[in-house]
Amino acid sequence: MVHCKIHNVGFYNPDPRAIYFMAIQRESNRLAIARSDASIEIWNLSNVPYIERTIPPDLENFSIEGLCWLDNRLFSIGLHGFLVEYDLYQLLVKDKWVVTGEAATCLDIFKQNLQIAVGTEQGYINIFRITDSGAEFEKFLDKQEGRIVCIKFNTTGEFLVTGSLNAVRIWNINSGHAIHKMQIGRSEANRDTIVWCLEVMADFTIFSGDSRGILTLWDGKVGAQVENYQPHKADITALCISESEDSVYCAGVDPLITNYEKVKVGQSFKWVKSIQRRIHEHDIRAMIYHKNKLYSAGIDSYLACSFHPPKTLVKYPPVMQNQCTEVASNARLILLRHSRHIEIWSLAETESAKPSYRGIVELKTKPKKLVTLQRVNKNWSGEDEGEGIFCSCISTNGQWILISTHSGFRLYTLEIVKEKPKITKIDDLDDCNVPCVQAAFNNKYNQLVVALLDGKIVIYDLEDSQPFISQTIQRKGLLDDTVTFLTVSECGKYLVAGDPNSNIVIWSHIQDGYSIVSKLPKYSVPLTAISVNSLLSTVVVVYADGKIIEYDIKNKCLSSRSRILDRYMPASWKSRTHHVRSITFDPRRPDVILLGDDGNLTVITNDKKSEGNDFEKTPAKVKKANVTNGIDSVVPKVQIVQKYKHLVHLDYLAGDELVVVEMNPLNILKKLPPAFAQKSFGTK
Amino acid sequence: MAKLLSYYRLCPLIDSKSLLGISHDSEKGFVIVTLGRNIVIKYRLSDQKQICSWRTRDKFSSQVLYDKRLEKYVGVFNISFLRIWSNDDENIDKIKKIKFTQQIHSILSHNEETYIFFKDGSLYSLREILENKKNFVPEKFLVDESVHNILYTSVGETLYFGYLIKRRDKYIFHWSKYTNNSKNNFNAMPIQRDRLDLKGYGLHVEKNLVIFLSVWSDGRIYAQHLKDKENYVNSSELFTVIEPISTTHLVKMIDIDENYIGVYGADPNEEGAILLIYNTQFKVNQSKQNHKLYTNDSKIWRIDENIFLPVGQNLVVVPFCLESEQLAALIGSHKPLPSKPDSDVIFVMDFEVGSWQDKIKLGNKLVRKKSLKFSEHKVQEYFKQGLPESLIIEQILPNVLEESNIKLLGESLDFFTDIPEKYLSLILNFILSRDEGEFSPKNKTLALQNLPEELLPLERVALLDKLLIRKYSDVLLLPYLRSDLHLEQAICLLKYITYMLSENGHNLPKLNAVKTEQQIINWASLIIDSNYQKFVLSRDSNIENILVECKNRVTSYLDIVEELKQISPALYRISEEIKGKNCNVGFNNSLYLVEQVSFY
Repeated sequence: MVHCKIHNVGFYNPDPRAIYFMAIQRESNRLAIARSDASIEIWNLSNVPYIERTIPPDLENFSIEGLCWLDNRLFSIGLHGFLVEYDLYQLLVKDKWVVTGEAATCLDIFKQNLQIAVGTEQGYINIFRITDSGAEFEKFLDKQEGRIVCIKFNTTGEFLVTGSLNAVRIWNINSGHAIHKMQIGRSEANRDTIVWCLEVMADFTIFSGDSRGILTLWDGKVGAQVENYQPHKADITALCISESEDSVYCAGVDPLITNYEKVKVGQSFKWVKSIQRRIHEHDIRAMIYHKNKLYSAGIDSYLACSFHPPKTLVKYPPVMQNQCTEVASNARLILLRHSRHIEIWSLAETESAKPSYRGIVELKTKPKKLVTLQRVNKNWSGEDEGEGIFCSCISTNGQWILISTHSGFRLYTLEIVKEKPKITKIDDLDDCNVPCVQAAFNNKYNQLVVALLDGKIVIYDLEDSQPFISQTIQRKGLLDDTVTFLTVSECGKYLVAGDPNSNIVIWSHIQDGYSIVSKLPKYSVPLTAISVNSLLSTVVVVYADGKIIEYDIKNKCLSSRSRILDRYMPASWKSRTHHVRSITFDPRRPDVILLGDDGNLTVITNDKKSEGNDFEKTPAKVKKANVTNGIDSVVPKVQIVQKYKHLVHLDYLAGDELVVVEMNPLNILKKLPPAFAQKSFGTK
Repeated sequence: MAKLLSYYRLCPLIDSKSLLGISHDSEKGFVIVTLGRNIVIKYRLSDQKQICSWRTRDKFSSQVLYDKRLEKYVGVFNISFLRIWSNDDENIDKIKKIKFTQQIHSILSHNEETYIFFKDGSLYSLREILENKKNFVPEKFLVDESVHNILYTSVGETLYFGYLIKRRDKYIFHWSKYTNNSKNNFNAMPIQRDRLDLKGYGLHVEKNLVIFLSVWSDGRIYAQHLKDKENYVNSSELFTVIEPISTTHLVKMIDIDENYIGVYGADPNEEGAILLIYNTQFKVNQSKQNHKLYTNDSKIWRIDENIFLPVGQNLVVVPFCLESEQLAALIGSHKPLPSKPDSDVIFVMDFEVGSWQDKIKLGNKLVRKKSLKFSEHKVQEYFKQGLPESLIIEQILPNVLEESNIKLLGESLDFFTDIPEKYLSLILNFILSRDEGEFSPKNKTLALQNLPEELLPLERVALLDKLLIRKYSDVLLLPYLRSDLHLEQAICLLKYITYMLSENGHNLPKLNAVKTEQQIINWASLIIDSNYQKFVLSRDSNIENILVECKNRVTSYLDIVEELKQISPALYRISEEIKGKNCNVGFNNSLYLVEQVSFY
């Protein structure tokens, strides 16, 4: 047995970023999530949900008040009064169009007519038509007094339903007139009732949720109230209907998710209160029902996926997309990425302990925060504000730091003299005005590899004080989407890049630069983690469905272990709810693979005990594989350590040390605003 | 000083007869109420919240007790069996029964143990029974007679237990002492007075002696000492005569303290009930409370500093407070009853034994040396007569105030250690109401900055300081302050106190900074207390300003306290680190932890 010292890092506590809006792309199972810092995360729900790409906060597009998909195009509106289309390849704002009526407050899309309706602060409803090149303003409907809070098309696209103060209105889009105004009651005489959310069904039944906590059912054809229910004690801010339209979920400031189901009573139908679930402790702001699963999110910044039967709840913590932390192992530093800044901490030195010792090891020095770095720019109101970070990285020796934001990427050198950090910016870097989406340092050859927005992979030589571009790799035909994985092996020999379409390409470093070695066989499921084991020259990739492959670079084929690994994974492995976030290796035992997901540390080793005697017991196929490859007859052994909560990153440090970055749920909870206070039975 | 405070309702009662009893719970502040034969409820007294309750199929026949030794609850069911359960047991019907062949009258608790009293007239501790359950047969004392009521009290480790039996209109009290080696050794004591009815009874402990008190229909209370082997005939002596309570109805008595008993009975005007605390030492009623409804033969309990009694359909809690007896406070304020020479003698004895006899002599010399004015005021004469200070003050102070002899007043304040609260408030009034000119300006050394103008000259301040350092009882002083101190004076004083709380404040004579602060803060709350109504109703901006300023001072004090609180962990840590303990501990656990493990 080999011992390891695990450094459990608990000081990575980014501010929770509340989820305000969600939009689902049902065909490709993609969920767009807008967070409070105006960043957008695109989650892929096809297998285990994970963040496929992130559009970082933008100082110009500082607010998101609504999201919608049209095929694979994503639109949003915000308080800045623009309709914005995003470029999901470059992770930027592609184009924007002015909306009349000041701040835009809500939007909806009618896909058949390619129409987007935007409701505004001043009461204008703007209709845009989407063309291939962008959006064109089409018309206004009559102006109403006061803000439009929510807006929905009906299923035929002829009518619009809007919610505002004290009323729900139905508009005829062709004539532009409101045809029905349905008044909503008040809970107190001089307190307006706000209609926060709406849902429209195929039979023009309208559901509205309002600030009184009342769910009202309207008949849109006649413009009359059919029924109302009071499921909540406070505002209903989120509402969603199932795809089959027989079930409605509502929740809000009172975070109890209440379900109403359509029940046939005699000849007619009735909506009956069904199950209630308390999934969040704070306000729920958005809910989406997709493929029998309910996705809900809100102020607590978790994305929760719940379904029934079997009664299941999975919560996804607000951890940023991969590589939000990075360990500079030689310098014993750790880089922690936050939404708008990065922090660099030194890791602790430990007292030496006997190899046979198990338990907590005393610290020799304390970890220390050394640097906070952010790139400041003028925001919409002319104040300085940190720009959202695309990516950041630190070299293994801790000498180089890179931050990429909307206004480009910046390279810094870090020197630590007597525990005092000194940061120097490298000024004249070519091509640094464009943001890069991924970056990595090659420590061996002193190089910086960046994947730019436009798809190029650029190599900088850092040998001299003046970094210069030494190579530009075109990736046409190799990668067809944004680079979301970029890693350089420890030995500096291999450069690996991957994209959300599961394209993985390996380059190797030869004398005058990198040349392509191979492209891995493409698997239909997207990858979630990738790493190079430089001692064995293998690449380990984990996919969103839990499949693990080990690719032998030298032989250009999957390793023998990779072929049989699936058989030896525990039965529960395939039904995992969280994706593998990080992979690392132990140089003392090159055959060991360490995988980290949200709650577990998984160790894959070669079980040497099974050599010889147990050989007969191994399945026939395995035997064959072993024989053909001529590699020693070992079977993988899988061990799962379930002890973490929100494991963010797992990395090898040095010697016998490993680093585990963990985000404590209590620290998230601590930073949240107070929740809706409710008196529960038996407490005071 | 004993006082009954305003009462509050604890819980509703379906029928006051079915209330079996109230007993101590495991913690202070909680009580167990055995209600309506099959319900036990645990209440928290501070907010009258029901904490938990049990309900049984079998009926309780005695109150439920908490046995501190077992840390469990004990209850008697259907006169025939016991159950012992813990706080976590939800269903007590499932608990094993402890059956007895003899009928159980009741259970009681003494010295953290539970005792069981059988109807046959014997008492055993639960521990004893449980240890020797198989061979256990209680002794039989009573044949064809039923127990009228039981009485018990504890004197240190000893339990005095007795029961009353009615035999042909005559009551007989059987009692026994329970110590480690004696039990069920009953003495019979007849309770009897010719042609009079027994209306109430109770045990009272005085100087480790147990007295059986009996209330008779002529309003007299007789006392009988419980002494071994004595002829009880005519052993009872008149204890007191109780006037405010009608003895035509039943009277209930509870022992509160060595010097106090609680008495509950009907109002003499036949209008409701009266609860009073009676001082047995000085034979005076100390506190009286009227209740609207009198229930004949209602029960009454005392738990800690609360009296429980059922009033109509409610169980009512009457908290009371007993202030520690200060002999000085009693002298003069409780003049001995002329009809009771006995107690007077005791009182004088105490007085002479007191060590301050020497002090007086010393003081006399001092006075003689220092001031001849005292001799004029016949102080020495008074001392020679052996009058207590409070009485001397009573004699001389009105004159001093009338003559507005400020110098003498100052000297009196220095000299006398015991000035009754009434005179403190008068002196305060006097000091604050004098004109500036009446003080003889001489002392220029005291330079006080930002002193409120009303308080000038400094002599007034010096006098005030002398007053403010005095010890007093706020309960006694409050009513006098209310009546004697005018609003303007109160404001003036508050101003001074606010000034003392400010950075310009000085230490009071003979006190250090902390004690000064304590005293000043006490005075501040006293003044605000006494003038609360006036302050609240007043629209005078001046008053408001002063109150706001006072509040600001207090807030700034609180801020400092808050800061000190924050500093305290740091100080603690420093001290720990000095001691050489590991300073990494705190950091280790919460944010950074290195552990050594092996997976492969």
